[in-house]
Amino acid sequence: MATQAQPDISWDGIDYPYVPPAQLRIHESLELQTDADAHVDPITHEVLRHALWNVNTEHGNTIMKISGSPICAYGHDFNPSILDENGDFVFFGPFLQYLSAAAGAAVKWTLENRSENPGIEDGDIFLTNDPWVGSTHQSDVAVMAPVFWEGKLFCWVVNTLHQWDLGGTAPGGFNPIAQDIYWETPCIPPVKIVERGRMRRDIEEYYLRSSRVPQLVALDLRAEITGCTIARERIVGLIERYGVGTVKATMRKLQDDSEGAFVRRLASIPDGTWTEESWLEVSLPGDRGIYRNRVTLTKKGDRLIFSNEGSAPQEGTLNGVLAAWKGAVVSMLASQMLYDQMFVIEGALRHCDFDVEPGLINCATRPAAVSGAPALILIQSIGLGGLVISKMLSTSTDEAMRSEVQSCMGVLCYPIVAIQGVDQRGAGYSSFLLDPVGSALPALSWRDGQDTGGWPWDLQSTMPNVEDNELFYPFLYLWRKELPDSGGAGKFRGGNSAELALVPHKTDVINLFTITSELAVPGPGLFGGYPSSTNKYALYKGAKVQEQIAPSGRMPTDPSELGGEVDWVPAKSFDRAPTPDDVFVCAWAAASGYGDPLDREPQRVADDVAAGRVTAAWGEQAYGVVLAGDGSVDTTATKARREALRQARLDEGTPWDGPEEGQ
Amino acid sequence: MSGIRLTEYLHAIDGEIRCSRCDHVLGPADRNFKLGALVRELPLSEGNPTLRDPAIYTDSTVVLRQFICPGCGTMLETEIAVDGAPPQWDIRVG
Repeated sequence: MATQAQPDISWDGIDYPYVPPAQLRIHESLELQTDADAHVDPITHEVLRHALWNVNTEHGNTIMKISGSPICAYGHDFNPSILDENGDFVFFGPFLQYLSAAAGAAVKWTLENRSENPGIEDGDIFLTNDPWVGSTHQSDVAVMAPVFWEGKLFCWVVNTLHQWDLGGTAPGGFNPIAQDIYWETPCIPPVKIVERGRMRRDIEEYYLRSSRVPQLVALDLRAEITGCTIARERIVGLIERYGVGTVKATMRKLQDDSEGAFVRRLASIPDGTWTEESWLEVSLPGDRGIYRNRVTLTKKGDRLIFSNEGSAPQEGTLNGVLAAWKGAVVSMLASQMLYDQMFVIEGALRHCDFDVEPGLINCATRPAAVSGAPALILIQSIGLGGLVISKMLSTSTDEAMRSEVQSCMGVLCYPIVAIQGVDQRGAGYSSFLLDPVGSALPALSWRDGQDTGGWPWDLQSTMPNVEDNELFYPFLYLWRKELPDSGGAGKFRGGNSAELALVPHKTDVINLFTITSELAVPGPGLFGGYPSSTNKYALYKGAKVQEQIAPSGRMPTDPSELGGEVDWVPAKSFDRAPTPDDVFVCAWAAASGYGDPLDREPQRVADDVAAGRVTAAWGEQAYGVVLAGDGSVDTTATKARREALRQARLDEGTPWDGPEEGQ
Repeated sequence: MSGIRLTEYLHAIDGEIRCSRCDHVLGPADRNFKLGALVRELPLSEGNPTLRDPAIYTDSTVVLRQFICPGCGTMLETEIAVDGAPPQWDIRVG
């Protein structure tokens, strides 16, 4: 994985993001275990391949068992990885994949900058949340354990876990008003949190001191350390059983096999360049601007080059670091081009270059604010990465590759609803809602997207139970429901998304922060497909639903049934404070459509209408499908309607007479 | 269809980009095919009935832009256009 970076810039993780050199500068006191057997028999290879996979999975499951955080249990906002002695990936983890690419950079930085002082030794574990070194934002804390064998560094086991709160001016760490990094959670470059098997109490107390919930963060720290410890013990056990050269040879073959599969797939694709863009909204509260985020992918021979050219300069709270951006596009490569390689992403990384311009919103330099990155630039770049990869794969001569072509995913920007206050038990809380992880899957080139099916790059996350959230936090749900027509229309329809409505309960007030985008600009359709729905925040002030419910016993189930004054809460806000008299509504964006909606099989539209996924009116307007009174397709009327819609396109469309791009 | 498949509805052959459904020529392969298509701009709500007026949130103009094959009326591509920006040149092969 090369980054084509201007040579006069110091890419050292201080002001500019860390970009590892081709040859790491590791102090001579640290010996690397590089010996690998020349050959491993196929059966042993398969046994060890799956054993290493299981080590990584157990690593992740251990974190979930120990962490008390719903962010971990439901959002699965963590990812374990195994990396070789140089910090190159072996297994990338089946959880939140974008986290690992950043952690890989953190390992390489640690090798270069900690191998002499304080040294990297058996039993050590390092910790960092520094975005310019190797974290997606400050709340994502990477914990890295070197694995030694007979005094030499054999490999690394690493995980990253999103933390409840590590301090700063915004509870929960997403700061909608941050003008620079100094308004946000402090950055910690890699420090040795465990030294030769013993927790450093001084470092732990420093780490916890700024948190609003230090006991919970301490528990999550132990979850991360235990995950690494278990994984390290398991790998040492494999070495003891199979031999150090055999395990290392298996790791090398995993990387090489992944590379072979990736190169074979690239060979089915002509050289070319593909671009996609979307927009981020509101750099700080009060702003009404929107800012371009553009991803360009160039395929040249057996190399892929990702570029951020044409994106807006870094601005307000909209920014992300290079590690987050790389993780974003790499997530979709794993999903779309290496789905059969068990997340061994290294094979693709060997053939990827990142041609980045620093100082743009997707490659921010210090001291830009970056705490909002995962909700904004990072997740949006995953979606854009998926779209440029899809456009590229559409040209493949390999049918299997073309079957991975997909429209824009749901929740192109995550609608953060950060909440803080005193709960129904009188204790403080600080967290954010995880319901939007029930995102919507994109339409593929051969099927509809799954309604509220999650993300295509995240195989594990689940929506929290309504009842659990009502237990954790002082509010009640009025509804949480899927939204008809939210998925983009197309030959194949994008998955529908959902909406929730909350009433504060057994508390005086909830302090509520919002950070998102995609309120004004929806995700784009693909190849003639229509756009998705957008995110939505609405605060119904003075709705007084208790008075509405009491006489009838009936709960409202739709915004149209709510009273009070509607406040369209903007993409960045910090001053909303709903009380039990109010209702807060949040909807999240669906996926876009694939292909011309007039090409959709009429029976699919009839089935969607019958199931409540599409309204009959939209079925007629967008798809040109007319239903009879019994819900069946009126074939004659549908044919006429579609002909009329097609003719209207021809009558109303005009040739473009404005400037061309690049002029 | 022969040549290079570009999208669901487009392919490149003999130095030209053509509609895969009706073979209409949209222009040379080294030029943005959208410049050879018919263009229609609509309010966002015409593309998804759940969408609200962007003016609630931004002073920029945000519209749905459709690119239509002049030969057969197929919806070749859509994009979200902000402040009248030129059509994205998003597909270049070769």
